[in-house]
This record gives sequence, structure tokens and C-alpha cells, in this order.
Amino acid sequence: MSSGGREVEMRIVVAEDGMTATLRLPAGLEDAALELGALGEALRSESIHISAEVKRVLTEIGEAYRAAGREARDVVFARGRAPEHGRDEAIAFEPGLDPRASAADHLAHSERPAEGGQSHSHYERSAFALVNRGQAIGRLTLATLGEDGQDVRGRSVAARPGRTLGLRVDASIEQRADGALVAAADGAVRLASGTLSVVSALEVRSFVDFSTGNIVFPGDVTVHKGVRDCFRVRCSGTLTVFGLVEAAGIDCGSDAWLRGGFAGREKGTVVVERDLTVKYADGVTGVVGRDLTVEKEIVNSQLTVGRRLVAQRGAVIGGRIHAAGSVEVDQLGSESGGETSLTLGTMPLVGALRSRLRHVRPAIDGRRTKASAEHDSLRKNASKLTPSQAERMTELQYELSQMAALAGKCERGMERLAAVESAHTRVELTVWGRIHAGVTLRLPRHEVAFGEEVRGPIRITIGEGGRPVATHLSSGSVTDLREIAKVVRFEAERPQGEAAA
Amino acid sequence: MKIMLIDDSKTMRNIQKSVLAQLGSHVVEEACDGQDALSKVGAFQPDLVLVDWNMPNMDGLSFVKAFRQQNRATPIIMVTTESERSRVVEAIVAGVNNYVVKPFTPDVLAQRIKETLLKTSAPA
Repeated sequence: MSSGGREVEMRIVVAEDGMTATLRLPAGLEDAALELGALGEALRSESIHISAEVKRVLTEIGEAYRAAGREARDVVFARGRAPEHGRDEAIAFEPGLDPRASAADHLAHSERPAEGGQSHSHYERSAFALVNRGQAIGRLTLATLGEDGQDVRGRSVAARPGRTLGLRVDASIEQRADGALVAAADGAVRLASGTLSVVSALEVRSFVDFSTGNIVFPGDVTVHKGVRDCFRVRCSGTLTVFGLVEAAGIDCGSDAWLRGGFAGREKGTVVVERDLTVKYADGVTGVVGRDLTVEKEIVNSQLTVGRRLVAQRGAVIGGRIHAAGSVEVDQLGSESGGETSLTLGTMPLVGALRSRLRHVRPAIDGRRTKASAEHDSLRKNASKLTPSQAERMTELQYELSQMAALAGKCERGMERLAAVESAHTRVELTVWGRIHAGVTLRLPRHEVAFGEEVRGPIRITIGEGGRPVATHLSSGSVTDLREIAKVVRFEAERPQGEAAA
Repeated sequence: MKIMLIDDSKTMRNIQKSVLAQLGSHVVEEACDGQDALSKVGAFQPDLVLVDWNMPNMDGLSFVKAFRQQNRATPIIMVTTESERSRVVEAIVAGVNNYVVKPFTPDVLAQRIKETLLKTSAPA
């Protein structure tokens, strides 16, 4: 309808997104046009859902229009319900445990004060996200689907579901119902190929230096470069270092491979519970629980080896080496005639324990004798003891029973240690090349000093009668070691580490 | 098992603790006299009590009498130098379950503890 060129019909305009419907009222509309019946037709033509609320709003609009003198106006009379989009999956890591963080972030987080001062120990920092079993790693919040909306025409407007991280959590991490992620193993937190895990193997791609801090790890460690001066690598599993270990500390709970060698410069220390394989060791002090295999040489080192020392093509030059089992080297000592000491056939740690027990026993016996004397004198008057004497006698009886138990333990301990030593020690030195002047061999009851060079291949063992003998491996001939070196015999086994007079 | 040791001699309590340790794992509460023990039994609720007779503040017999007014079930072993028959009878009348005369050896004490626990745990 039009009147004199003016728009006289009302119109309904629906927004493009369908979320609002506007009633466009021209000026001067008749009441009939504002009735719900007439409006309803217009609404239906736009497919607008006529709810009770829409009816109420339209009635109010009509009343307001009439009250305002029927002036033209646009009024929104219906609104759709916007969809609530889903929440994205998210993970929040505990401080210092985000595997996506840079090494620098981890280092900064792990800074802790040095002893007695406000400054930080840069050696004690760690560039890795390390956790212990049971430790909280973080919290995972799962994605939600959201809630669909509805436009003014009553059509559903789909909600966008939250995005997932595509993260898998493996069995090394416990995922609790409340989303908490808790380490189920000791190790390093790793996020790789969409899987979050705690791995029992740590890869250090750089040097162990200020960029990593000391490495203390409950598992296997691989260091792709070397270990710098004064740093420490400690692990409960296998250790592999491809580069050079400098004057650093190595403490390994299993086997260790130091492929680049160990230049300890008299400050390097090594403790390996099982086998150690090293390219060379120079100025290193330490203990190897089982076999020590050396590719080149051991120079000026103080090493105790629980089983065999194998340096078939290598040399032992200077220092003091103590091996419980057999030793096989190419060269022993050096042409310069410097002192090289090799102790064979005893276990220094076991020996030290035996020595301690030997010292403990007289103290136990002394206390027993004293307590026994006092006890006997009280017992003579057993029927007339005063209360304090009765209590004292109880104390003495207790002390005597304790001393007897201790003496028994001591005895059994000595026997067990002797059995261990006998089962694990062996006097056998094989030298393929030469034994140089300046070498001292310490055997359980003998000390052998080489004043002149001896050519190999030669094997030194304890022969019949307990004398050290040399077998020339090329001829098979056996000679008393006294023929090629100065041998001093001791009647009793010397305490560990005590040199011959 | 919760065991209370009441003796004014720390050495004696240590000996008793050592004997108990050899018998297995126990939770031990110590008291230095009867009064101290009475202030602790409520919270500790022992399963066995070892008590000396002669102690300052409150002697062992007075403790036994007071304790038995509130607890008739927990076994009590008197560990004492009092060896006269009349004293033993007095203690048993007061509510002691077993009696160890000082001096004793660790084995004897261990044996009495085992005996007492066996008897008191046996169904009536």
C-alpha cells in the first residue's frame, strides 16, 4: 500500500545472520495493520517463529507506535539465541615442567641459592623437566562440544566444538579424573609426536656445561658432546658420553661408555657400578664395580676395579691401579721409568671392611671381658642383691647378650667377606708388549719391583707353593718371577694400601 | 601393637625396647613414672604395659590399681626387683598379668612378653 508516494506498509527485515528480526513501521499506519492477525501473516512470510514472547513484544510495539503519534520507526522484535562455542582442550604444566619450554626457561626456573649465600649455583641448575614418581606434572582440561543456538526463524545455529590438542598421554603418566597429570615413573617429561610421557632416558644434545647444569637423572643418559670441567653427571642407568669428559664427576649406577675419553687432570672422578668402557683416562680417580675396558691408555689415574682390567692394545702409565680380577695390557709403565703401581688379587673395599671388622673385634672382646667380670662378681651375691645391683645386673646381662650377638655377626661377616674375596679375586697379569722399569706389582703376599724392562708376551700368576711365576707366552716357559724382578715376600697378608717396607 | 614402658630408668626402658624390637615391630610409648603413664594411657591406648614397681611420684602398684579402674583388659607385666612372694601376690591381686624379677636376661623378658600376649589373646 502507498499513499502519495510514501511507504505505507510495514516490513519485516531479518538480519543476514538470522539473529535479529526488525519491524519497520512507516508513518501513519492504520490500527488494522498493527493487529496480530495482519502481523502474523507478515511474520509467516518471513518464516519467523511466532512465540509467545514475539506476540508480547509486537503488542507492546503497536501500543508504543500509537502512543508516539504513529511516526515511522524500526524496532527489533525478535532475537535469536547465539550458540555457545565449545572450549578448547588445554594443558597447564606445573612450573618448570613444561616440556615445550626452552632450556633457558628450565635453567631459570631451577635456579637455587648456593650454600650460605644469596647467589645462585649455576652448576646445580637443570635444563630439563625432571620429575619423580608421584609428582604432579600439570592438569589437562578437555575440550567441550558447546551448545547450539537458534535464529529468529527457529533454525538451529550450530556451536563450534572446542579443539583438541591431539595429545596422547602414555602409561608413564597417570591421568586422574579431575584432569591432574601425575608422573607414574621417575624421569624427564617429554612431549614428542603428540605424546606426553615421562621417559627414563635423557638425551643431552649439547655439552654438559652451564647450558644444562649438572645432570642428575634416574635412568639412562646419553651426552652427545662432552662434559665440561667441574660439572657432574649422575644417573642410575646406563651412561654414554660421545665427547670428552674433562675434569668432571661421573657417577653411574649401571654401565658407562666414555667414548671420547676422560681427561680428568687429577680432578676427574668416576664411580661406575658395573662396567666402564673408556677411550682413555688421564688423571682420573674412582671405582669401577666390574670390568674396566680401555682402548688406549690409563695415565696417572687412581682406579679400583672390581673385576677385570682390559687394555689389550693400551697401556697403564703412572698412577695406582687396583684390580680384583685379571689384568690384560699391552704396555705397563713407560720408558721414562716413572712409578706405576698395580695391585692384583685383592678387593680394596672388601679388604677395608675386613680391616674394620678386625679392629672392631678386640673392642667387643674388651667390653665383654669387663662386663663379664662385673657380672660374675654380682652373681656371687645373687641372693642378696640390692635393687640397684639387680638393675645393674640386668644391664650387664643385656650388654653381654648384645656383645655376644655382635661378636657372632663380626665372625660371620669376616667369613662372608673372605668368601667373596676368594670367589672374585684372581692374580693374573698378561702383558703383550712390555713391562717397563719403575713398575711395582702388589700381590696378596708379594711385592714385585721391576728394575729393568721385561718384554712380553708374558703372564704373571701365582704358581705352586704360592710363589709368583712368569709364563712366557711365546715359548710357554715358566720362570720364577725372582729371575726377572725383585720380589719381596710377606708372611701375612698386608692391610690394604700399605706399601712394603 | 602398642606397648607402654613405665620405668624411671631410661637404660631399662632402652633394654626393654631392644627386646621388643627383636620380637617384631611395635609402637612404643615411654613413661618415667606412674603419674606420667596415667597422663599418657588415655591417648595412647596400649595393648600391653610393662611397669616397674619402685618409681618416684607414683609407684607401679598404684599405677596398676588406678589403671585397672578404667581398663581391665590390657595385659600388664610388672618388671621389678621386688621378688618376695607376698609382693608378687599383691601385684597380681592389683591386676598384674605377669611378673619379671630383675635381674632378668633379654630372653626371659621376651619369653614373658610372648606368654602374656598368648594368654590374653586366647579366647575365654
